[in-house]
Amino acid sequence: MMKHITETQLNDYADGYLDEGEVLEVTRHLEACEDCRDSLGRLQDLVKDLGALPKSGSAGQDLWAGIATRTVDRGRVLRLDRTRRSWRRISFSLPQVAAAAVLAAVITGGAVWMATRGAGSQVDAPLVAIDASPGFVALTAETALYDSLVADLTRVLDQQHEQMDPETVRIIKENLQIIDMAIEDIRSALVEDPADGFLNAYLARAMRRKVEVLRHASSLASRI
Amino acid sequence: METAYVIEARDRGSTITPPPDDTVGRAQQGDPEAFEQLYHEHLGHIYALCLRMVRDEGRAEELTQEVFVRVWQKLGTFRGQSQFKTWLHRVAVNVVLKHLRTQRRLAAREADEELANFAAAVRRAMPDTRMDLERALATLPPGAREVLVLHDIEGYRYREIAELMGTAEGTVKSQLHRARRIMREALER
Repeated sequence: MMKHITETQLNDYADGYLDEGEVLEVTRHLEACEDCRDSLGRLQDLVKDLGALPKSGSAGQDLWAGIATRTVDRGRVLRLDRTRRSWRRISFSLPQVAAAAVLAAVITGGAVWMATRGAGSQVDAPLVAIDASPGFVALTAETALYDSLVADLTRVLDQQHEQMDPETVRIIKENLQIIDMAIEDIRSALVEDPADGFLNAYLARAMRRKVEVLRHASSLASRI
Repeated sequence: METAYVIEARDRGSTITPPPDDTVGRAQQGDPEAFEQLYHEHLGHIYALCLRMVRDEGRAEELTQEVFVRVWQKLGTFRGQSQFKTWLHRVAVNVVLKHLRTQRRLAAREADEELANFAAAVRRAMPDTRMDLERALATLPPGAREVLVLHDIEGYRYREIAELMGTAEGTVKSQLHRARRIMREALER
């Protein structure tokens, strides 16, 4: 009888990497050696158990906001900038109101989050909950509140970013730069046509993205 | 927001409209909704892979985002010779391995904390998983863990792993055998 099967042979046998001759040789040994049969059985159980582990898991939060900012939203803003003149004949009164409502919800949600976070709460509720019956909101006043909220969140991040993983900080900064570029582009376009409903809606969405990214970053920092 | 795209798509005419069930094709043509649909379809698998590879919830989330950004940037290079899922997975593995290569080794204390956080994150992400296996997997040394995840959980072959990791097949093989030995010892302890 050949000496005990080596670890390499045993693994290759279990994985089906051996050629026909080697398989025969190992099989013959296994028939006669209880120790090696036992080792093979335990190895096969492990491989089977590992293969049966779930292949899919739920992320703790929706990651789409950060992805959209760096992918589809960039394209949307560029396309919007190129073609928005052809859309002017469409009436935008409703989108304008909705945009203002989104921004108001962002600010309210963000402010609530800041307040609960400051109180040491682990509340992580959705940031934006748009009212089904949005009323008109003065965008100028809301923008000022938004700037204040962003400043608060940025300060939290600045205070804690040194404890965070440098790669994570890099990605967050990249995200924020892209959003800022988008906001800048949209604001420039709005100077020409302040009543453009689509531009207002995009602006509100970009602002929401920024708050979401900042909030996510602050959450990461608070876990450290 | 979605309305804007619909109007634009109409303006561009029907010649560019792919079949409605071809989500990948529509995403390749810049359809944001199609890309978002792909994200929702594959998020779970990509996140689970990232979490097992890096053992940190926050980094796994960031890497998952990075994967989809990379996929968006590279969508034009997908030619359909392989399944989209296979192609996406390969992009993901490349992103994670590149990240791991640039990471410094963690201090022992940090590693302990990381393990505790990892167990909690895995329990949240995959409540029906076997925690004894996940814990043993998480304690594997770097290199061995990646190879084991890719071979025994994700189903890659030696040659593919060697290619992805930029190493020799023999190295992959010995890492895998070592990983399984450590796993068995940990589970039988």
